[in-house]
Amino acid sequence: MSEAEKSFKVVLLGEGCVGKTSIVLRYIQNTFVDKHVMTQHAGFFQKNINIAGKRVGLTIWDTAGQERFHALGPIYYRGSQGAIVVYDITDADSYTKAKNWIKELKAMLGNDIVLCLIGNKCDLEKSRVITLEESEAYAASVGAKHYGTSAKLNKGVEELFLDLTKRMLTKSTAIPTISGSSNQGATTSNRQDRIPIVPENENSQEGKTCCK
Amino acid sequence: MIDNNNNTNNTNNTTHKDEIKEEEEEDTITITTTMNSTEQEIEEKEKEKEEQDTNKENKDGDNNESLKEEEEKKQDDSSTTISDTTGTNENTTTTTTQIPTMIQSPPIIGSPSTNTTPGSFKTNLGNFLSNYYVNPKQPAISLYSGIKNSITMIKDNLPSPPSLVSNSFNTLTNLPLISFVQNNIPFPISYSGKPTTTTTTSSSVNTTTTSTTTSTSTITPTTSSYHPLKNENVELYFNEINKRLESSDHSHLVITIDSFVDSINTQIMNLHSSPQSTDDNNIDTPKVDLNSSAVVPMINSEVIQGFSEDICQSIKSFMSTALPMLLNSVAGIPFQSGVVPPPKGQSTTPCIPSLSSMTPLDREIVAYEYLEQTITSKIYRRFFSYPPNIEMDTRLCEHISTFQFITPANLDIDPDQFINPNNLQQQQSFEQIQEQLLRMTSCKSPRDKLTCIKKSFNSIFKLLSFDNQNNNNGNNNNNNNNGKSSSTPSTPKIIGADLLLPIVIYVLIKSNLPFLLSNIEFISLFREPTLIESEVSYYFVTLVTAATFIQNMTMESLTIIHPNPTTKSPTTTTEQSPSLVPTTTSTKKDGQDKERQTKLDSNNQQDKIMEIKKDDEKDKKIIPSTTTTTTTPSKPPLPQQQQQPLSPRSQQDEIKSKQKQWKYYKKTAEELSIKDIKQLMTDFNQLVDFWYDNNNSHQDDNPPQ
Repeated sequence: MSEAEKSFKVVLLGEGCVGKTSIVLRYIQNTFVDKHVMTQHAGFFQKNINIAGKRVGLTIWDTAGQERFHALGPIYYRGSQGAIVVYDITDADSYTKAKNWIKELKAMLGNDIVLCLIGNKCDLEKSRVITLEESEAYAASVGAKHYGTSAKLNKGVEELFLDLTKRMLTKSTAIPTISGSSNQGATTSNRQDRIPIVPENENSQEGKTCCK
Repeated sequence: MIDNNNNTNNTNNTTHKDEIKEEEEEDTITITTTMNSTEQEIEEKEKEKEEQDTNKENKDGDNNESLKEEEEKKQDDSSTTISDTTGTNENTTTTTTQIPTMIQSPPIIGSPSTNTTPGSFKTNLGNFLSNYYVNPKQPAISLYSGIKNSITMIKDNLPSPPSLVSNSFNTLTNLPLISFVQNNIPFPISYSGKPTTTTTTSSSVNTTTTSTTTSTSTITPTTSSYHPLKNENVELYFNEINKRLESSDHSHLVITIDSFVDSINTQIMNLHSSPQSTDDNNIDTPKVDLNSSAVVPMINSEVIQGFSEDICQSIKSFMSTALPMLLNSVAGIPFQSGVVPPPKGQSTTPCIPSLSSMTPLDREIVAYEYLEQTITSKIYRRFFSYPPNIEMDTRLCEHISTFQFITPANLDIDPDQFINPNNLQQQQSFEQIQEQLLRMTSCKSPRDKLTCIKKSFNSIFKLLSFDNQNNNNGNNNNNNNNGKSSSTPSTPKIIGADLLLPIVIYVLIKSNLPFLLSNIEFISLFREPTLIESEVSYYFVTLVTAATFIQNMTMESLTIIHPNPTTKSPTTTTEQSPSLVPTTTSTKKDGQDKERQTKLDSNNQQDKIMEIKKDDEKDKKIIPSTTTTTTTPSKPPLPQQQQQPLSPRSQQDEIKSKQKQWKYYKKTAEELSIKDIKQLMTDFNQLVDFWYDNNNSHQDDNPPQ
């Protein structure tokens, strides 16, 4: 299996027993039947997908949802490109927790991270406490996207990850990334340009601009 | 491309959407074809560039000459005021266009007597290189020998470490040698970033594809082209590299590395002996805000941070410098590969056999691993004996030792999902985990340490799945509230972080590793992040999280349940609500406990402390007791329940008689010192002996059931 062109780190946040693990489990298991079973029972999941001909590797990091571990979140979500914040639609408490997570993520990582707000357990529509309108409005207000899923019925899970990956892709190929990468290229090529010993031939499109 | 994918995928994939496919096949064919076409274009451009560059070279060469003169003048002036200028030195970012900074960064070897060395080396190398590139048609061998000469110049004029230290250089980036090489040699040579010329084989095309793709992505901030090696037998390569480097041709590299390590070591030593000025508050790692009840400072305390970032940075910069040298002598990758054909004749350094089949990028990774290993294993001893590190570790150890009473229930670990104290095999595998973690300290390189972490985590999973197999019957009706039961009918139960983290915390507390924090610090500082397998890095992060939690752990952060409900009926209550135990109940229970603590009379209080400990002790001692009383594994629950009512009665007299002399009985766990704990433990052991004796005699009285 060849390397993925891009790889994204996605972190799963949310209160305990809202079904974080179940969601990712559903996603991984439905598609990977038994190939990686040995290595994946760990709170850590890997999956490669193809989107529009692009090879994308997802590494999904599960986090502990217990309140006492809340403060340790930064260690987990540092450096991640996407976050899936899960709440239970039948549990108002988990919704406030999810909002807290989003607030924290925004504060820590700014706009570099793609946020998803997930209302899980959509199969329990009867005992829903958080209305769809409310959560969707909130998600829109913070630049996140809201999804309703049911890990139990396998509803919306595939779409969630697919959409998240697409958004991360567009984000990574959009303005910040290109400038970032050319910056990186610039620092290294700068070093070479400083004493132009090396005949420049790399990255003729973007690298060259800084030499002129 | 999509059609291609479809064809290959249809066989094993049925559920995919149009756009998405599972990764099953190689796309390299299409990529290589595109690469070939772009390569040709690039080659044409390259030729034009070469002409431009040589022109530029001349100009810049002149520039350099004048620069050097200026610099040398400056040196005389500034040598008296070295300590003043050190603060402004940012050598790593200087460019030729930034002449002022160039001048400001004096490449001064510590003692004035060696003042001329950098100048001569610089002129030597600069002259040689500019000459060389003006006439690129020169035989390649002269490049090699020229650089070799320059390196011997470095080697001969290497400053002795003490003289460096005496000048109060704070960072090694200010070290003349390194700043020189950085500023004057275009390191690291990014041969992999350049599409190679016509002579290259298909393997190098592969690297160009990977490197170009990675260079356009900004996901990995540092050396974006690295990826973890799939091959685990890196040691094999290391051996060969070692052999190669032993030969006299390459001794300069070894000497360079050694002297660098020496200077780092003396720097660490010096840092310790001199009072540390830690005024850098710009810690970029997000601070974790725990409650005010934080007992032990965070891992990244400012002292450590300031110290180790300097070291880390200097090591990184040295590695980027030494890497091309190593590659040249080991992997058969010449400097500026793709531009200059590999050197021929006497000084040819062919690639080490085992590396020859690898792509240049992989070779570079191996070389990097080798460098990392050599350097870190040499500074390892100093790092771990660095007094602040030791202090940090001992403090944590003391902290942990006050929490040895902990049980899985205190961390809301479902006993069903974890260790069954009656199972000997599980006890054994639990010991294996601890053993692996202990072994981590004896490993000298961060890579080996990570391997140990990985192994210990795998043992944890083994332990958990093992448990699962035993309880297979009882587990089927679990997990309904998570919807897991429908999704995991046959596969082994998948462990989420909700379960994993408490278990890791429990393991860490129980094993109370020496040097835990130093190990973590060591790994996070010296391991190239892009070389860590993502899975292992998750384990590592989990370990770090657990350690951080333990550092800040207080009695309030634990779930203190009165032992009766947990020990008496672990199988009934917890099976009904396996994952409902967390947060809400825990906080309530804490509150209740506090209330209880104040209201309880002394008798109960003591009982409570004793019972918590008893609970802990049961984990260990229930096995001998069962083996002595009954041999069948199904029996253990029975004697437990018998013991429960019996034990208080037998103890109470004892306790009451001792209570008046007993100074601990009003203390909470936080107030106890280690000595107290030890005393308590010996007391307790006596008590347990007494208890077991009593118990056995009672059991003997009762007819076996």
